[in-house]
Amino acid sequence: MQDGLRSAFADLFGLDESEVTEELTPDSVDLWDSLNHLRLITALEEAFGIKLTMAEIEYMMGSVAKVREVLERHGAGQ
Amino acid sequence: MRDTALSYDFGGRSQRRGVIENRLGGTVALGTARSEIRQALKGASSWSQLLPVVQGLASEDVDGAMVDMVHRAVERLDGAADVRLAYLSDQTLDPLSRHVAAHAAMDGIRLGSYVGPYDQHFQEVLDPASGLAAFDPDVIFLNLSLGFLAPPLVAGFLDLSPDDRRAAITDVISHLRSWADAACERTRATLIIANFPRPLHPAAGIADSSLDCGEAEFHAELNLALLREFRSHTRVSVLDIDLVLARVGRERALNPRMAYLAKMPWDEVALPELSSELLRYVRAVRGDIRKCLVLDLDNTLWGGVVGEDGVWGVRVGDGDAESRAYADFQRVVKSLMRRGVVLAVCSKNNRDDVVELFEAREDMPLRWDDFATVRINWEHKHLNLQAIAEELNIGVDSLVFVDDNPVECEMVREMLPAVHTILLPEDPAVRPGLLRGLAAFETLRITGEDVAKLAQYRQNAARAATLNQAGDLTAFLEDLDTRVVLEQAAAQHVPRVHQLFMKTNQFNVTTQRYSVADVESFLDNPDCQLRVASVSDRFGDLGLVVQYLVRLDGEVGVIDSFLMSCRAMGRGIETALMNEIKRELLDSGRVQRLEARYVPTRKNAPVRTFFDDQGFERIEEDNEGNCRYRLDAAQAAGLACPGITVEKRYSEE
Repeated sequence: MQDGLRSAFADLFGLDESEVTEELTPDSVDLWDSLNHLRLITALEEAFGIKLTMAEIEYMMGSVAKVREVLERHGAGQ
Repeated sequence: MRDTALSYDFGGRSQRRGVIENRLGGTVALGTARSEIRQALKGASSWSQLLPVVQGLASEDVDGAMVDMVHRAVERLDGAADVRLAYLSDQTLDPLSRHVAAHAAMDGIRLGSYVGPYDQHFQEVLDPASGLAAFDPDVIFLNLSLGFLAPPLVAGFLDLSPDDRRAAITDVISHLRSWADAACERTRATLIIANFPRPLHPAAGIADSSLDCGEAEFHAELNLALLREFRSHTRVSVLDIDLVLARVGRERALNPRMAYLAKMPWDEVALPELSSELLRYVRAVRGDIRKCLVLDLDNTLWGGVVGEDGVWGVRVGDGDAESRAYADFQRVVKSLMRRGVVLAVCSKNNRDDVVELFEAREDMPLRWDDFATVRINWEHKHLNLQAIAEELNIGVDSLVFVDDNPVECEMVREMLPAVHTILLPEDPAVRPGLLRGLAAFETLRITGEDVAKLAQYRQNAARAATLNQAGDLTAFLEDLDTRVVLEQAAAQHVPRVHQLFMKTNQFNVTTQRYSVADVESFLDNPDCQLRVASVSDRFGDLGLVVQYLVRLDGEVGVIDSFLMSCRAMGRGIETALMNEIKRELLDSGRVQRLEARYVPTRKNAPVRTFFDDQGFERIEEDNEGNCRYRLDAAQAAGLACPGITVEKRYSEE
């Protein structure tokens, strides 16, 4: 899963996988805008077969760590 | 290499589907090489390096992330875009702009984009210091929601009285009208205004149809009022966004989660179709329009092979399902002809069989006379396509070729990549819809010249036949009795004048492309002489086919543009008009000399020596072939042009 999130994130946001760290936030990633965030959400929902709420989606647009936290809550983090 | 319906949306880049040539010269298979594509996109430092990479992308590989990569690669390049498109809205249109730019690049168009701040469509056009003003758009797309324009309607449609709802329609239209007026005055852009999609379910449910000005009636009236408001406006077009969303499927196209979270009304799944629709306008504004549809016959215009199945054995007409599909295909071809597309045939067949079929089968919508020219023989098709282009006096890049045979299509793509080649899908049922959706022939409006075009090409064929009989060119020209009516360009000429500026490639000394706003500005400018000439002869009327623009600058008259439609070439009209310019400006003493330029393009070789031939002195030529000319009053002399009478319908000041 770690690699899955990392590679999806890298592909969408135009980064190398090595650049994707837990501390990244929308402010530090140029392409982490609301559209790309929703693309990420769609990719994660499909990959893990989960459905995220709007509140969770808004919370996840905080940092990579928050994205991971919500995924783990859905049992999708392991 | 078989095309799918989807790939037609984006024009002629299917030649290299499946592989891309990366900038190192090797080829890589798609799908397995996403990171290589990314590297190639990142590494492209010029448009010519980027183009082969993006044109190699197949549309099914272009997902959201790929769109962004292409968009970023285009934005990174130095230098000017081909067209600049601005977006103004109360909603998030950045994602749409990225899709449009990426699809434009795949189509060979380098598009510059500007997305204005939310809710500021008025400020953006009125403020001379706005981002829009600095961007100087060629096209502005305005997309406003009803929630923004008339909040009470969306907040509680049923709380409003029928009269209030009708009043809201008037308010919305007048808001858009005053915006369009301001934008026309302050910018030189062509404006595209989106109409208003209906809600998926009316607030009153099925009882909506029983209400006075219910939601269905309201939206029909609103969108109708919008159409009527701008129908005859030369610079405004209405984009039927409701229809585009319906093509995608409204339920799929509207994504409430996107709307709530990102103020973005459409799901990403709708963006390719919306992009394709916007690019139709962009192409039309640029004058990037094909002129002639060349059709195969067997299994294209009818089912079966006339040489084997016989005149009554081929399937077309009112018979079985397949026959009806072929008849519908012919009807769509006929409607393309009605809007100004020239038709031609290119078929490997026995000519006598085909002539007999067209005579006998009166149940076919297309008639033999509908075709401007016909090539039925056993030669290679690319040779016939070249001959068709030469006969019609247009470039092969003005041709669209349609065939059901993959081998023929592949060969034409290989030999004549500039032809837009369409391989028909095997199922005849889907073909009429595919042809209707073709983007290659889009124009913003249809002029009288478009409608009369076929007659004019046929007259040209008759003229050529007469020349063959006559043999002597001077005698032929005198016999032709060409009459030229020369006028000062006025408001009623604007659509045609704009079209000629955009479409004329061969007889065009500078190939200056001018927008509608530019043309309108010439009309009011006393230092601009924009003259238009309509031509007729004993075979018929050619319409408005020549125009020139002379800019008066003190003692000098600068010939900015001089252009003529290809169907009027070869009879000395240009000499007759140049005589008029010399007489009106030099002989009268209005200016002391004329200055002119020849700017070479891939297509305007026919006018390379135009100014030399007209007695101008070549004073400069650079190594790209750009020439500058002058003609002093003392040297000016009228030249002979037999058989041409010029009638002037304006007074010289």
